[in-house]
Parts: sequence; C-alpha cells; structure tokens
Amino acid sequence: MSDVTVPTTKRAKKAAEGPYGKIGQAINELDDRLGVAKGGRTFMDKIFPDHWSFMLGEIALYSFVILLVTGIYLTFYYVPSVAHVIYHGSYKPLDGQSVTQAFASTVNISFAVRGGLLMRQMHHWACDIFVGSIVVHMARVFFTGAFRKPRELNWTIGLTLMILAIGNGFLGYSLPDDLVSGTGIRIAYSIMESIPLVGTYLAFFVFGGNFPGTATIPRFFILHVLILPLVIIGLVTAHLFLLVRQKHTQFPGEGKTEKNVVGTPMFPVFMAKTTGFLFIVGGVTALLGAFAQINPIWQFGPYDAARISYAVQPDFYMGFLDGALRIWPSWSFASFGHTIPFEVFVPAVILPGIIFNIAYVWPMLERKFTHDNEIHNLLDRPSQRPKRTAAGVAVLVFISMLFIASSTDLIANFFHLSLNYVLWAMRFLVIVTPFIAYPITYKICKELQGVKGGGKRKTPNVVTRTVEGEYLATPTPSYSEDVMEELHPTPVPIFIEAEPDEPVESGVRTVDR
Amino acid sequence: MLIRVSNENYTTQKGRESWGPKGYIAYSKLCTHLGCPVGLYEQELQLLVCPCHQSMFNVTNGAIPEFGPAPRPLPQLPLYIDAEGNIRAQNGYDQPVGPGFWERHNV
Repeated sequence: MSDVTVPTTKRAKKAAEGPYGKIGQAINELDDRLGVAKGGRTFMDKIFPDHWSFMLGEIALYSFVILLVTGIYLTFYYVPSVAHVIYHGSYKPLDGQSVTQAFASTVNISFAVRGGLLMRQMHHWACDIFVGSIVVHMARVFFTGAFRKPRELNWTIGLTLMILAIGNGFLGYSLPDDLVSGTGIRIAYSIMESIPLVGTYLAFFVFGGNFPGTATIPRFFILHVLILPLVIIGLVTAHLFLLVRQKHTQFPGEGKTEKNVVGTPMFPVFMAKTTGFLFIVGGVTALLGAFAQINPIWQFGPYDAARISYAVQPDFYMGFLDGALRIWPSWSFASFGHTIPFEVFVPAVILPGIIFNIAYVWPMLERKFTHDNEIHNLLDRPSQRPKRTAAGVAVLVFISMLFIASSTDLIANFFHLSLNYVLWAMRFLVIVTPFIAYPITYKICKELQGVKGGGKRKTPNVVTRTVEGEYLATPTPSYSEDVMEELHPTPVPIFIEAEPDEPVESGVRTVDR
Repeated sequence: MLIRVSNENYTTQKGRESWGPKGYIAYSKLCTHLGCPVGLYEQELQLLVCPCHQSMFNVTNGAIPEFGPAPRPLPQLPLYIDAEGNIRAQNGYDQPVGPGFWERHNV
C-alpha cells in the first residue's frame, strides 16, 4: 500500500495545486526546465514612467502590427506581375480592358475578395498612421530632449525607421500599378536618374532596365513584403531593446531623479494599458478602413505611360519632396557633353539628404555646442530649451511649407489665383517662414520660462467669507506630483516580493536605474 | 503628341521649316522635368501643361518651357506627308526625350 494520500475532495485538490493554481503549476514546470522565473519577474516588474506623450511611439508600433496583419492578408490575393490580362471581373466599367495582373488583382481584392477592400483600406490607412505617428513621436523625443546621452543610438535607429517607413510606404503605394502610382514610379525613376555620374546605372540597376520595365513591380513587391519589413522588424526590436535596457525617460516631478525610474510596472498596469491601446489603434484603423475611402485605384484606371490624371497628390509623407520639386527653379547644367539636372537633383536628392543628415547628427551637434556630456534621464520641457525648440519649429515649418507647395495647382484653382502668384508666394514662404518661426518660438519659450507656476496644473482658489463679510481667495498649494524640486526617493526593492502583495496606491513604484 | 496649329506649313523654330507639313506638328509627350506625360492643353494660351509639376510649354514656338521647373523644350519630331497622304516622321528625335541625365550630350 502506498503512503501517498490522493486528495479526494475539490478543496483538497485545490490545496495540493498550491496558491497559484494550475497556471502556477504550469509556470513552475516551465521554470524547472527553462529558468524563466528570474527573467520573467524582472520583466514583469519593469517600470514605465507615465505621460500621455509616451503613447505616440506605441501608436507607431501598433499601426505597424496592423500593417503586418493586413499586409499578410493582401499577399494571398495580390499578383506581382505586369503581364497583361483582359479584365473580366466584377467591376464592369473596366470590363474587357487589357490591364496588368498587378492592377487586375488589386481591383479583385477591392471588389471580389471577401473583406478585401476593408483590408486594403486598413493597410493604407495604417501606413499613413504609421508614418504620421513616427513623425509626431520623433517631434516629442526632439522637443523634450529624450535623444540626449545615453539615447543617441536609439534616435539614430528611430530616424532610420522613419526613412524606411516612408520608403516602404512608397513601394507599397506603387504595387497596384494604377495610373497615379505608375506616374509616381516614373518620377522616382527620373529622380534616381538625375544623380550625376552614376544615376543612369543606378536607375537601371534598381528598376531592372529602362522605364517602364517589367521587373519593377516584382522587385518592389519583394522589397515591400519581405526585405524592408524584415529590416524594420529588426530595427524595431533593437529600438525596444534599447528602450528596456536604458529605461524610459521621465518628466521631472516629485521623487523623480536622474538616477531612478518612477512609474507603473509592466504587469499588470502597463500591460493592460498598452494592450488596450493596441485595440484602440486597431479599432480606429478598422473604422477608417470601413468608412473612409482611400486610394480608389479603379477610378484612376491602369497605368499607361502616355496617360496622366489631373490634380493628384502623393501620400502625405511624400508631399514635401513633391513640393520641393515644384518650386525649385529650372536650373539645369548642360556642358562638356554632360547634363546635370539640378532642377531635380537639388530638391529631390540634396535637400532631403541635408534634412535627414542634420537630424542624424543633431544629438552630436547639441553635445558639441552645449558642452553637455552628462547622462540625462529627466526630460526637458520645451520652453526650458528655447534654442532647440525654436530650431525644431523652424525645420517643421520649413517642411510644412514644402508640403503645402505640393498643392500649388489646387490652391490656385480653389482661390482663383494665378498659378504664377501661388508658385512665387510658396518660394517666398518656404524661405522666409522658418526665419520668422525661429524668433517667435524663442520669444514664446522665454516668456513661458517666466510664467509663475508654469508646467504645473492650475490649483483652485478657496474663497472664504470673513465675519465682516469680506471675501478672501486663498490659493491652494500645487499638486504634489507637479512639484519640480527633486525629493529624496524612497528606497524600494527592485524585486517586489510576491508575498505579501502590498497594494500600492495608484500602482506607482520607484526603482534604481 | 500630334497637334494641328494651322492649314499652312508651320515653322516652330528656325531650321524646322519643313517639320510641320500642313500645320501638323508633333512633340514628345515626356516632360523634360521628370518624365510625366504632358497631358493637358491650355487652348487659349496654346500651352501644353504637365499636371505633375505644372511645367508649361508653348506649342507655337517649339515647346519652349514658359513656366515651371522643366529646363528644356519638348523635342519636336520632324514630319512629312507622303504621296498617299499619310503623316510620317522624316527621322527620329534629334535629342533624347524626357528628363535629363548625366550622359545626355544635347544641350
């Protein structure tokens, strides 16, 4: 007879499982084999500082997740070929027309595939949200000085991600082989061709021959669905790894120092918030995909090198390039048996090159000019750094003006103005407005620095009535979290004991870096 | 692009006296800026307009760019009318069509 007593009642069985039940047992089994408890505990206790602006990067991350999911669905039905077929699908206006398989399959996705149009539009919207949220996230990082030492590398990775996102957005936009996107490829080809010395070879190499070739769409496809996504996933992983390794920055406040992290732990607070946020981003994208039409390629028709549509704009992230190409004068160099198309090369290659390179070296530039080589974990308020804020605003105004310049024809039509006036006005505004924006921003920052109680939430005044009938308004002290002075942090163990689980009010914890 | 500007033989530029028989003249449709098809025609001003970046070319004087970022005129194709009355090209374009590139010789 065995000594082991087999629990018979439900209660006895539960007691035998231990305090964490079946899940606890399963995790125990895993821990016995893989040793996940220690690392898992560290990860679960990871502290994330909290501020609404920290969610901008999360929007980018989650719209990328949506891009992957909807993109995989689209690859099931999209045919990356420019072989011509006679269209006999459900969209009757195109019936009997000779179109490429790429175009026919995209129209098919839109009209015949179940959920296809929703997926296509969600994919397109998610891309616009992806690039847009990266830009806004980057602006947040820039204006709060989050790129400073020790986070310069992550700034570089983020900037590279933005360029890759724009590039992959353009590639994906080109895949349907419709009239509008085909013209976009034509322009991209000419831009590449404009590079002195190597341009022609480079264009032939990248596009697989002269324009319009049969190799372009298949190449763009494999770049768009495999190579660039892999690079993006790799860089996103590095971006997040560095974020976890270096720990998130925080705004100054009560108990927050350069040497600690004050915030909510990964589990359960941050995990719940961020998962909820994934669903919100997904939900908004689904609503946009369902109700807001985007890129109706069946209205544009198939690409034909001899045809063109009127008043079409590229996706917003290409606007600044298009605007620069419009307003740059027709200065071409042609001599000594060679042509350098400066009218294309300068606005479309040199100009973005300068903008992105300044962004790349900005952390270094700032270190050089401020002689500030300290490690910064506390964020700046933009008004505390008037020069940086003013420079950032000037660049944003410059790019916004280029963006507006990409619709000179629409502006001229809408306001019944001469296109010539609009063009010259934009040339003028692109150059002048950054120089106006800089001193204004600088002045506003300086003013804000002098505002009493700036950066703190408004507190109510308590109105009391004295015995004599006089009313007195007494200001109440500011919220403790808004107090900027550094207080001594309360030492808290890095590993929070599981038992007994002391409920912390608001779930905020402080750990050393 | 084939355009008929008059009933008489039409000369757009010096040296192109025989290129426009019976007022038929032909230009390359590829914009010299970025290669978009120059697909719009402003009839009153006799300007060809590129919808991409609004370069405008004057049809009557050899498609010289009058507005916008395009640096060169649209190349003109010399035409003739053969014995059977068909419009034919005397030969090819005298320069590369479309946007500029490093190896392009023609000024």
